[in-house]
Amino acid sequence: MRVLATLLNEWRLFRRDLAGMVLLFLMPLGLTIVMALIQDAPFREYQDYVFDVLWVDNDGGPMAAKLNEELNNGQFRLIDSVGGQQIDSTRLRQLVQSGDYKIGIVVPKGISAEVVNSANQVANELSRSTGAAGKLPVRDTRTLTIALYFDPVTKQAMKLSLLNAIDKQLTRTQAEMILGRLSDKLKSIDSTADTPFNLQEKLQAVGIQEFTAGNEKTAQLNTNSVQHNVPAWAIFGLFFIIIPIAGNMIREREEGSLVRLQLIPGSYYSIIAGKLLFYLLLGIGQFYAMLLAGRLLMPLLGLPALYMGHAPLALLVTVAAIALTATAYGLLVGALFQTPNQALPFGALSIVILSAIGGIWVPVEILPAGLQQLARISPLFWSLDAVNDLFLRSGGFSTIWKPLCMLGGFTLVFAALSGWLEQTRKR
Amino acid sequence: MLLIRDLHKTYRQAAEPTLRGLSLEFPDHCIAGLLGPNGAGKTTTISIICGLVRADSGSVQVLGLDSRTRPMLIKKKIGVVPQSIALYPTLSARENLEYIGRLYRISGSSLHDKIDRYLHAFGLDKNAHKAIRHYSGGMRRRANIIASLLHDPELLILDEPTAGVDVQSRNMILDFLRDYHRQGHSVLYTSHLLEEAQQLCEEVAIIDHGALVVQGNPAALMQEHDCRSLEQVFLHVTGWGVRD
Repeated sequence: MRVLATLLNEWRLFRRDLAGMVLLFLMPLGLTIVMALIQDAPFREYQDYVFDVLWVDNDGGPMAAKLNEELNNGQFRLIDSVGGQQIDSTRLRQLVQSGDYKIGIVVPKGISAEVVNSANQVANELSRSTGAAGKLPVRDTRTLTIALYFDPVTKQAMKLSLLNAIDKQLTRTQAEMILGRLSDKLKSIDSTADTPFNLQEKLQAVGIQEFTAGNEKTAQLNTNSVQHNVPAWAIFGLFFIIIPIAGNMIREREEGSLVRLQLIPGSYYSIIAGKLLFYLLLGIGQFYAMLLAGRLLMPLLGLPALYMGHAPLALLVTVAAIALTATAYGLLVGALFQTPNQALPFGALSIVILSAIGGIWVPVEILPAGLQQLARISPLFWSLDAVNDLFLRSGGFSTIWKPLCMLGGFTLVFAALSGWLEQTRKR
Repeated sequence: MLLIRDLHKTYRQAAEPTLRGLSLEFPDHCIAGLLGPNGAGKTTTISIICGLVRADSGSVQVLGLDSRTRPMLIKKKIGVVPQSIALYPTLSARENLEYIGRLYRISGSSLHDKIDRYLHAFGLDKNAHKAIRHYSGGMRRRANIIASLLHDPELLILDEPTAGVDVQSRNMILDFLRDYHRQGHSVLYTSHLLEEAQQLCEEVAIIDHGALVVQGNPAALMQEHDCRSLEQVFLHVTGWGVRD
């Protein structure tokens, strides 16, 4: 009865605190939406965002055509005329230098002929060693280079992506030409074969296919802005529950209502339990509101819908564990400080710091090794780890037990410290 | 109703002890006043009686119960009106009283009847749904007293219950305390308003520097010290020096 009475009383107090409601529900929602929208472009940059690339073809041969076809077929859109006018290499450099375009490619004259020459040289060498008749025309090898121009603001990852695409296409085209010549040679040696021998086909025995180490659903799921930002900022927002908890504790002390509660017979822990239960339910409600926004609201804003895994019960337990840890941290902050002016800035800043080292802002994997170890002292790290296990790795109870244990440990430490501080104050 | 023997208390990081062997005794079923200048140790004494603060040594018996061994039973039998308004300012008087009543494990019609009766008795029934923060000082004091009465305490302890209230509210509070006493309850009260204490109390104890200075019936004390008022007795025994 005392627990329920306290829960009801906390609800009444919260209902009258409009600013607290806004802080706990609308601000995290706004933050999540803004962060998902802002980070949508960087996430798309490596997936389905198409970049304009200036293109000058001084070769006009099959090699340049294949290169054009390959690059135009995905992440890049090749542009060879600007303002209705065909561009040359000088104009290309000007446009990249001015920042109007981020990348430019100039294919040198004779690149196709050079590849053919290389292929003929290899075929002739084979003929000589096997005693086959015939010799293809060759000349001395020249080295030609495809020139790439980048705007200085272009990200390194984008440069690497383009370089890899060009390198891959060059290698493939040269290999195809050489294999074509070799195939022709082999056919000329064994002209009695009924079925033409396809050397290219034989050399494609081993290929590469990408798989995701999860179920079919997550195999379709690329990390996107919503999938990263909604859980991350929902956890961040949930931890901000410490502000009303610590604020209410200090207000109760300052206004004297704590004295009233301590004067009433019965265990004070039942009152604490009622408060904990209220904030636990509030935290769970807040977190699911954020997830619901990720599921329903984000698509309306042109973002992908949030995928929430396939273990709803494990998710509920995880959210409850996160909310409990946040609540216990709120009790500790409330017990630690004497005034709201001390507690609230500390509480807010500590959450920002713990979130930064805990991988909320940027994935922990890209932090320096020392910070990666430090991340483990942040309850937000374990919170995000558990949610990612469920959402991205299709985990269940069997995969989240470790982060749940860590969150339980944090809760116990925070609650014990809080109790010890309150007892010390009483003396 | 109250027996205190050789009570000592020094707060951590305090330069001097707050209580230095305080001993006093108040008989059952009386209105008693615990008086003293600022820093005399009144609030500490009440806090120890209520179980909010632990004494370093000495003993306290409340209504015949030892405060060290029976603190929960004592809390059930006493009602304490703290000096501060120990209520939630954003909640109405009724909401505050409902919560406190439920913490005392009173519920249903029994709780609502009591709340209605006391709100009426203290003239707050028309403002029962108004938030405490919108109350006047006198209304807050009255609501603060009601919150300590819901469980029908045998002993009502009030720490400066009339501080900062208007004459009308003060009269209402004092009249209620007399009625409550007439119903067979005990009252222990602290105040700086010595004229009020002289009118109300059957027994007073004046303490200073954490120890008892004098104790007795106000009239008897005035006669003993050849004074015309309790205030003169007070100044006579505690001195004219200003206290911090």
